[in-house]
Amino acid sequence: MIHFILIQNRQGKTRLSKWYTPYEDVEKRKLSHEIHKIVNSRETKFTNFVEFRTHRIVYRRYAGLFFSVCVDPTDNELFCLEAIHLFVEVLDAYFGNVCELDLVFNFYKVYAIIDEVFLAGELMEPSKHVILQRMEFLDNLP
Amino acid sequence: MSMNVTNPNIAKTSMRGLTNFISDLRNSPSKENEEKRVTKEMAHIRKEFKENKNIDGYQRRKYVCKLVYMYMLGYELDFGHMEAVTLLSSTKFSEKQIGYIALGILLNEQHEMLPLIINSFKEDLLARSDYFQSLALAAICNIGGKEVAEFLSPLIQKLLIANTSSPMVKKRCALAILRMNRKHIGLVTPDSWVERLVSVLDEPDFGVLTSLMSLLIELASENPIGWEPAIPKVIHLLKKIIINKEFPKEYVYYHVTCPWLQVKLLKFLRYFPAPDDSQGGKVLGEILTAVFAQSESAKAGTVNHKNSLNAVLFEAINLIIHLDNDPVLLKQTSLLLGRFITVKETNIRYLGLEAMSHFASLSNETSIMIKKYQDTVLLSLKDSDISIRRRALDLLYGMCDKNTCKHIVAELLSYLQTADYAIREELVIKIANLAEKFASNYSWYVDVILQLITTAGDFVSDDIWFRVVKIVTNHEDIQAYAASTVFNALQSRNCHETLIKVGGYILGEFGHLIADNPQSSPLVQFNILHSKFNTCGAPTKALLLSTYAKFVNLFPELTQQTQEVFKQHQSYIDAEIQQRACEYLNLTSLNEDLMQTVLDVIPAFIDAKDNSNTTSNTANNSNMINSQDSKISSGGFNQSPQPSQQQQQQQPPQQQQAQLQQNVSSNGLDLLDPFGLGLGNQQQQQQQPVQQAQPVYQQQQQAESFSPVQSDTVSSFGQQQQQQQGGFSSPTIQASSSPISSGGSDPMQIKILASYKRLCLVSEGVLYEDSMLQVGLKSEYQSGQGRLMLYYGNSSAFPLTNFNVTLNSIAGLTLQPQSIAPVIQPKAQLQQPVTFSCTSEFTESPVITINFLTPGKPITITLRLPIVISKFFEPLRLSSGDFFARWKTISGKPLEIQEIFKSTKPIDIQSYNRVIQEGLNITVLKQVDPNPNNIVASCLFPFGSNGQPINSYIRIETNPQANMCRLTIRSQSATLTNTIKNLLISHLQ
Repeated sequence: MIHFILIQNRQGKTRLSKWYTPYEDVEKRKLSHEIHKIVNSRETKFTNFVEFRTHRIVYRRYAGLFFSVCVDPTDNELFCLEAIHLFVEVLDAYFGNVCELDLVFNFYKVYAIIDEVFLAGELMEPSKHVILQRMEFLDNLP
Repeated sequence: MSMNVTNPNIAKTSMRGLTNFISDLRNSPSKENEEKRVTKEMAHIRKEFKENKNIDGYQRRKYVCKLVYMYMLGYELDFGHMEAVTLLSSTKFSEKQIGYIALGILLNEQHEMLPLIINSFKEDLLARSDYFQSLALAAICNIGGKEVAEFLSPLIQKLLIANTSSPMVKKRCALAILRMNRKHIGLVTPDSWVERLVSVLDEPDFGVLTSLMSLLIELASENPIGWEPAIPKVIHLLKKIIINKEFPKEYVYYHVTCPWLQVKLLKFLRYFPAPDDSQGGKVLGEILTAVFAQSESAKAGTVNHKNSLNAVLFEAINLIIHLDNDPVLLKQTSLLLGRFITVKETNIRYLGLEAMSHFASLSNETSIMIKKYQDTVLLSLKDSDISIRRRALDLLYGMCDKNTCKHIVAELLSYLQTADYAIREELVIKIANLAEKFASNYSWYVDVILQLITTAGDFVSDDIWFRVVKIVTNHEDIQAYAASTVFNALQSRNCHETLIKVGGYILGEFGHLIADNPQSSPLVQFNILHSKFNTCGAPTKALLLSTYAKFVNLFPELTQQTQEVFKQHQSYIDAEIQQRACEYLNLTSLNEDLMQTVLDVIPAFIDAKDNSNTTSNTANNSNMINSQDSKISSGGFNQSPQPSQQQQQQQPPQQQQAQLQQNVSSNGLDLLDPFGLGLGNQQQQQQQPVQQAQPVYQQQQQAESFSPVQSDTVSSFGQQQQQQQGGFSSPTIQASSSPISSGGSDPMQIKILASYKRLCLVSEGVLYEDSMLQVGLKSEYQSGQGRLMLYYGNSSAFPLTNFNVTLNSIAGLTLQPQSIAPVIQPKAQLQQPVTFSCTSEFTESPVITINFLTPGKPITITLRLPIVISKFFEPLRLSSGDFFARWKTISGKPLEIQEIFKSTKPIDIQSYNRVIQEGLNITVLKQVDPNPNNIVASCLFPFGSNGQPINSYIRIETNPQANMCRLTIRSQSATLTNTIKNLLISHLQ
């Protein structure tokens, strides 16, 4: 399962974090900091997978943003990697060429979208089309 | 501040005030300004919430968003939660949605507010619109805890299967159930759920199927039994997608049909044995072949296309390895993996190395199949990416065998010189393990370890050098070699302190073997060691003093130099060193005979290799060492030497101390062994030298003087007596080998038995404990019914996954365990209630089998549950006349049994009475037998197999002088008579 999802910029600012395993706030900050240190120090030709404590981080960098998910070592890494990409494609289509600031100013939208893609630490909906259609529908509710 | 808004919906739902606020904070010239702005805004919002009675939904939504934003920036929030709750009751979606989002961010499952909003969840679940239902379900998935599960699971279950539920609702229901089952163990059991869940597999919606498969995988990973009916449908779905190519077009992702669903379907099958043809076994073969074929196209196309195909392919490979039944596919797998580990894409190389590790561990044939890739793997060991290096190291470790070990160890040693810190520790452990495991001659082993110490001394833990010392001591043929090797190594100007320790120990013991060579004469040996003395820490200094004392004994010509050193340290600030200096000074100058006895060559260590890898043993040892330590410091030199003291002094006390320190952090060692390298095993062996120092007779005394309750002592005693069991390569799976048999001499088994016996007499306590898992229990019994609460505590630093527990009923005793979560997080505990009822006499205790995966290693633990027939006994008070009247009505075998046994402890009638009365619930009848050495007792078992209660009558005649007992038992049931006999003997003997 996914234990958490982090969206961080290169400077280490966490733009969005979603936690599926309960951690204390202090621990969350510590984890975010450590993850950033790890993924930011890796070269682009390296794998998208890093061992982290007893878990694995699957991450991908899009321009200045790192999308990192923390999963169990038994999880399928490419599954996670492409799930990240699916999520990014949804964000990109929803915001229209998404940039870091979109995520900052519309953080509550991003949380709404996350809940359409992932729930309970699992990928829920694998169709970009279905997700976008749903968002369109929800946005037009009274 | 430019915002790239192309989606008109964003503008429609955005809040101007919020946007401005975020801009303000972003434009703050300093952190102080930002804090000021936040404080001001908080005060403003607090005031609004408090005083503005006309606050409308839009404003509330905006304020809650601002609060959440501040919280996300790291500011503490002590209000606003209630306002978010208020939003939940709004009828407007946009407001309700923000309420749910805010709570999802601000609360977690333990939050005290959660019970307050369960009703809001319920109302929304019952709403007619699927978007309200979806919001509530998502919240349950995000923050639902145990209460939510108890209160809402029936409703959610209904929603999952209702025809009226939209796919939007169904997919969330599946994941909500998954979440609730994680939080509330035993919520979803196959008997009541399998049919319904399997029926949902007929859904055409791929979103529902993907979510449902997550749920089914979780359930199967917990315990696959009962979920088999899903197998044919899962295979059918795979066939539909992969072979028939039927799918909704919106689920095609870079020309691959929903790779995520394919992966989940394949993964589910990994929890079951190979399906037979009725389940679609043959079709599965075709499917897997098709997956291989389609992966060929992965060579071209976008990276997302390739990743998707490969995600499915690696899942298929894992399934093929798991099924292990198709030689053609296995062969193909081996070729494919061979190709993968050479490709340029690092991700594929990484996954290829990982899958190859699994493949290699499958069987001898598979490990031979991949031998040819060894050089490629060695190359990956030098990759610049640590993720790749780790995988390569793991794989090499798994590939190593007798023939290749020298080559691989040499490669690893050369890699160690340049390896970065992140991987050195792991590397050192692996090299040491391999060197010992495959050592064909010990001189090679000594060379390897010395090289380890020279190259990466800081990473060589004490157990590694203890082990070398032990091996050298036990193998006469390498002693001279070892002495000259360390002597040469010590010539280097910058020796690692660990090398000085090894050198000190080995030269002290075997320096005389090379003393004839003028290059390494006694004086040269002493000088080279003493030249390092001042740079060493106190423990090493203490060890060197012992070495010098030994030198005096071996080489009388060194007496003057060494005594000089002792004199210098007679008032040294460190108490240990001071004491040694004083003692050795006296020892070497007073009495030559005594000195020779005390400083004699250390005897070979008993090679009690043990295949149970336990920290409990570590804990035992630390007890023993404690007691030893106190002996060492209290037992002064002037006392006439006892045999025990001699041996203790032969053992460099430093070693004991280091051992002690290490034991204090006993759990720490397993952290070094997250991959199940058998380090624990090694550690234990390395502790043997210390243990050896404890003379056997003393241990016996201890074992006897402690009650059996203190099982630690008993078990280390047992450990002492162990025979050689297997070598280093013996698997470290603990307690998997027939722990049920009580006669084992394995310390773990002895400990398990002691815990079991203790718990037969009391209602709660620890049943099992090792470095990873602790199993405790509490029990209560009432008129034929019992309730057991089992506690599984993860004492390791990694999660125990695929955790599952099997409990089987036995004749006469029906067990009903609740199911249990599949994962125990580090330092967390799971509880499992078990109810049971007794229907007739039973002789054995039920058995519990615990299975789980540590990272890299499956563990099976089999234990007896301390449910014995006496737990169901009821008191039976009889007068002397009544007792003998009934006693006489029964006689002769098999209703009567008489047995004579010798007690292992001095007979104590008081404690016998206590065990019988309080532990075994048998009523002791006073004043029936006037002889104080005899016991008369009776009990009532209410659930006889004939439907009648059965009375039992017991007489125990003891002879404390001879330590003998005669036991006579009579009852109307031969089974009961025999069972009581066994119980009494086991607890009284």
